[in-house]
Amino acid sequence: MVASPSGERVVSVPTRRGTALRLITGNRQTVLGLCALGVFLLIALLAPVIAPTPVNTGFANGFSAPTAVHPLGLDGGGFDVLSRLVHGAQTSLLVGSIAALVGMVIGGTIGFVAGYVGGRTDGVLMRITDYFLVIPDIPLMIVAAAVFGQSLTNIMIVIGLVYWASTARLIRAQVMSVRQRTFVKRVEAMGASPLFVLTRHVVPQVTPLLVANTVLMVANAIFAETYISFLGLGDPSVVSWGRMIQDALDQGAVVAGAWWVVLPPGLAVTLVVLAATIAGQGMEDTLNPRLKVGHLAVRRFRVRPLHGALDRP
Amino acid sequence: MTTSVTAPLLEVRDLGVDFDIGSGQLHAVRGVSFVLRARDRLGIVGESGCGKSTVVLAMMGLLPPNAEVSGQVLFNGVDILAGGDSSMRPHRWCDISMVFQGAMNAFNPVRTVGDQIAEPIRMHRKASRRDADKRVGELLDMVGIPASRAVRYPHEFSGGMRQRAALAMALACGPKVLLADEPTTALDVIVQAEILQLLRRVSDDLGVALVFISHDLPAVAQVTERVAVMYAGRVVEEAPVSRLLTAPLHPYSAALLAAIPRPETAAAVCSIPGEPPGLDTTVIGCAFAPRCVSVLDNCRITEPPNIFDGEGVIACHLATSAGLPR
Repeated sequence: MVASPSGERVVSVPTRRGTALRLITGNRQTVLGLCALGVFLLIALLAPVIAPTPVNTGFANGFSAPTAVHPLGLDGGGFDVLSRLVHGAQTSLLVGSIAALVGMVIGGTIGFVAGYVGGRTDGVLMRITDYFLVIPDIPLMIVAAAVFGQSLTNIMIVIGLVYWASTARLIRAQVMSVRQRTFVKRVEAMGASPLFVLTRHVVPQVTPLLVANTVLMVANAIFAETYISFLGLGDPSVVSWGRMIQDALDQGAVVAGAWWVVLPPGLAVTLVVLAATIAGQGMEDTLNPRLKVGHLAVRRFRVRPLHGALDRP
Repeated sequence: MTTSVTAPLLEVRDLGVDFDIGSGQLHAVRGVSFVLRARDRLGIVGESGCGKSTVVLAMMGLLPPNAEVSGQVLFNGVDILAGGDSSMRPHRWCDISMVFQGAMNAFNPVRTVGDQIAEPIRMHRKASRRDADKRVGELLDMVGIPASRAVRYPHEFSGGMRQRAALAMALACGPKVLLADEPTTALDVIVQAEILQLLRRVSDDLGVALVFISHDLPAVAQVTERVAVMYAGRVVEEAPVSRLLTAPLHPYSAALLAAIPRPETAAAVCSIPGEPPGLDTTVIGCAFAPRCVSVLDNCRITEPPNIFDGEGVIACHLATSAGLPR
């Protein structure tokens, strides 16, 4: 141990721990987004309590404007719109998060392995990824629904399988670039094991990207679930926002002027996606202090258009 | 040559590095040898691409997989390169540590500086977080950074501070040998002078032997006692600083000295015409011969051997023949 040249000066290092807490509370944007998501989660969890009537009970034989008993009115099948909306939140959030998680785990693992190991492994993994990247998602979903049956589980897996490839590419590129940085060489020079390098230096560098990407995937997956249901390929036994919009269209809600049937599910999708995006951006800022430097900030968020939705006759 | 009779701490013997680049081989380093005793300070100078950095990276076992390393690096008489990574690991950072070129890149931007300085301490000393933090404070204090800065991120440091912090990190485990790869490059002259002073001071205070790599001969001269001049992957002259600065034996060393701007004498700066041979070519004779002002016939035919003249080593045919260039 070396005595400091200034003798007995008090040398103390303040600590800065609790990254996880900071991640959630460190940014107003994150708090706002997470609160909004929390509200939706609460609605989804409390759906049976909030819903004024059971979901599958019809009350009339057609559209009926909002009343005190049915705050959002009845749809073409005579079902209570509010009840369907809160139950639809369950489906959307469940599909969104599980599908994004599936995509994150597959894409993240493949990206990390390919980027860190490199060489032949990288080549093989990336060719597989390329293959998945070029599969058009809607036809794949239609085929999957036809072959494996229209169940919620299948939809989640299919969405995850469609979206992991871009994550893998993104993570691989980032891992490769981090690998080449001097600080990774430095840690290797210190005698650190590859696992240490990966977990302490590469993963923290790449995590913000993975988080941001996963949040983007949540938004995308909710969209995907919506349009799968809209195309009539969703699970027929569950209510979802996409199916509500599809039903509304089938029943001619627009022609009938029944705005209370079309607007609520559409707005709900928009709000959930917006909340997820805002939360993800805030987290990214907190996780990666460099992003606070304006010119380095990368805003990768882009809401995908609803493919196919506009082509429907 | 130091007159001490202590055994060499670090000895590099006939180190060679070839890179396999698919279309052929690059001969980056050829036959580099030097000896470092405890507390010795050796500078390695040379122009870009002469193999300076490759030598230290080879010594740390950090070259990419396509590099073929030959020769030996002996630490206390044991070849640390022989057994690959496993023979290297116990010496890493505890015996031989390194300050990397470009301190801004030597830190992970998303982790605090203190955390990263603590890394080798926790890794090698199995120290608790509290002990490691305490040691980090001492280290930062030693290099002139307030310990309270440990919780800051690298982007919150200035270039000079980052370089100091990088030095603190290199000293974390109390190494016996410190390899400093261009520690003053990309810093302004004031900060450069501070860093040079600091390097000298810590190597004095801690008794660390230093290998200081730079293309800046005056900077090296301020810190080290001996200088090795590299050209095209070879050490062409190694001598005490005083002798090299006043009476260089190798024409390349002399040309390097003449290329240093000296405003006080208003003498013209002499550049060296031509450029070094490509690393992919097989050099016949002396690599410097095409640019040498005092080239002999023999220089283009046979490679000059290393000659030890009591004070230093020189690889030049002029030294073998009677008249030494002055």
